[in-house]
Amino acid sequence: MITRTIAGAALMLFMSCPFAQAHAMLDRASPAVGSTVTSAPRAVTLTFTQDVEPAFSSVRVEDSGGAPVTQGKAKLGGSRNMLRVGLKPLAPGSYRVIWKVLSVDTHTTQGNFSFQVGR
Amino acid sequence: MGDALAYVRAVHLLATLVIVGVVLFRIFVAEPALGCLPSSNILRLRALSRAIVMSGLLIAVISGAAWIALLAARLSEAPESFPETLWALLTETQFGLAWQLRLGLAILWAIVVAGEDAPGRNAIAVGISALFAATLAWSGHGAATPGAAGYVHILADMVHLIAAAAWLGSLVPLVLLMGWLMHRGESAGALTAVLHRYSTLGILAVTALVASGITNVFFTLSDTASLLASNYGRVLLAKLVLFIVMLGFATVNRSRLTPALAASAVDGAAAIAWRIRRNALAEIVLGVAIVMLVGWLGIMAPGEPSSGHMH
Repeated sequence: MITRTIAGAALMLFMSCPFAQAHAMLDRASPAVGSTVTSAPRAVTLTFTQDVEPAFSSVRVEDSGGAPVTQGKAKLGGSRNMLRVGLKPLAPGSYRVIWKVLSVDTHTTQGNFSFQVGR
Repeated sequence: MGDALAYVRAVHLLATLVIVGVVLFRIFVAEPALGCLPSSNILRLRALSRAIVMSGLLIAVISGAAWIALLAARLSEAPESFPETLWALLTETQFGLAWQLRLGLAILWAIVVAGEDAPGRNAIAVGISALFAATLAWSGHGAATPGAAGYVHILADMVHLIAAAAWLGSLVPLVLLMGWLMHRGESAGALTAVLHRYSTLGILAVTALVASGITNVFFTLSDTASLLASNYGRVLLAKLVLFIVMLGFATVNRSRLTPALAASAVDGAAAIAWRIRRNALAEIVLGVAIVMLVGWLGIMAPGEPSSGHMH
């Protein structure tokens, strides 16, 4: 009885971990990953699974030629796990979003995706 | 570089847990239990406690500095940008601000420890040490959890850290004190008094560890599906095994050996006391191993099949 209680408690304890670190993954994006939007977006908004540090995070958006189309630096959006970067007026075509973030628990993650601005 | 970071984190965590444990042990276990001893002994206890806290604070500050330096080095684009990266890390991130706060707490604590005994000093010591342990949570997973859930998570982390200090950290002064009492030929009565009070502290600490652990389960489980399929999961399992064994030693000490000590005759007491102390030493070894694992867990990603992913 005691052994089982200890084992159960220990299992619970070990599923936790104050130092368990998670990496900030991309949870949602606007424009959505791989989507086609009919009108050119004014900004790209990225929502992550963890809170991020804007001082060490960046979002680049490039057109099909590799030229940057962002305006200004990425800033926190409505909440600490959201980054937003302004865009220049976009012509129809394919665009690539390249993001790199530092989560508040000091892990870096990066990724990229594309979206289309259609006619 | 990942190795160095894991090691430095573990050293810092260990130093923090021990010095907080020393304070909690002195104020809640040793002094109340040994009030009957001559005051010269109490002064010796305080002097020893002071020495451990001061050296522990030094180790904590040095390892803390190494921690942020290694992090800044990892985040720097080029060696030349290290100074400005370090500055940005210190001043523009939550980690850096927490680091500054903890440095301030360490300095304040050193001043309090070095100062004269005064009324209210114990309360201040408990407050500062608890804060010093708890603020480590700001470098952890709980700090990065978004939204209102983040507050619950970080609170659970803080409780977890203080409880770990109260249990694992105070094992060190327990072992030292037992050795000292046994060497001086103090009665089993004095030892038993210390062990009884320590048991109470231990039970409260383990309860808090489990409660905060259960709270964190929900956060961890919602983040990762396949905990066991990853390196992270395997390290976590290792921690689990170590903890079960550690708790086993503690249970033997509490449930069997301490009552036996209380009931023993003079000639039998020494042997029992020796076994209790040996078990407590085993717990310390296991606890240190757990802390080393936590240092490693901290740089791993839960749920990733293997760390082929460099960051």
